Amino acid sequence: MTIDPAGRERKRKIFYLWREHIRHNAFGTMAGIAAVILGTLGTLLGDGVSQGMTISLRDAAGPVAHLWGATFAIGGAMKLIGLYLNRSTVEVPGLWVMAGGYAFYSITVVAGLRMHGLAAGVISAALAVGCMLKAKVIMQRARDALRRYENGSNSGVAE
Amino acid sequence: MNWADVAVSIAQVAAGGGIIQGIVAYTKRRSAMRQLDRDSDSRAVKTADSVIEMLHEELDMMRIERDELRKQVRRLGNQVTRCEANLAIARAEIARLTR
Repeated sequence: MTIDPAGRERKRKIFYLWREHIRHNAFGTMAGIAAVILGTLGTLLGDGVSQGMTISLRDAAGPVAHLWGATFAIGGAMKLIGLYLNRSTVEVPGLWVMAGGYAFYSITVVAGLRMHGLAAGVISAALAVGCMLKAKVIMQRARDALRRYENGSNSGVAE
Repeated sequence: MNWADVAVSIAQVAAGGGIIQGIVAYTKRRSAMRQLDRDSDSRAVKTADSVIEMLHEELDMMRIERDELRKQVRRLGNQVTRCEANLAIARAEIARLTR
């Protein structure tokens, strides 16, 4: 990485607004932190982290749970980094990976534990849908920003 | 193949789909997202600047208030010393008169 004092200063200023981010993205932040914690546990412990996975994935439970944990943790970390450094190019892929991870957990836990897995299944399914909706909202805003920029540069009006 | 196997396959498709969607979002909509980041960056920097300015103003005000309070403390200290001196004189006077 190149040393860019102005860029670093700007990043510092943006990070300085972390309180604002928490206020406006309380649930997103917590969903990301939960993904990182759960993903890290999954990476370290494998299928030991969820009985539902052990039952539903059977022989493949160990490696699949490790793989799931790793992608889930990476997704959560990308979401948090993207959010707190104002980088939607990192945040949106992170959100999609997180959505996949939550959906995977939700389905496997219900398939494995049936009725006993319903609580965890419903919560993580809701989080998966929430991640997808958030990704859609950010993409919509990005498209609007691009359209505004293009209109602005065509008519010679700088924002 | 029972329904649990079907559910697990769906779960795998969902997880894979998430990753693929993430890659697609990054590769296809990168320019739009970069524009959004630039917009929100400038907005965030502006907000941070105004917050820092506000904090500076508050700090200056606090400094003025602190100096004022220090002056007051010094003044009150002098007054206390003077009062103590007066009290000592009065006590001496009382002692002299009641002897």
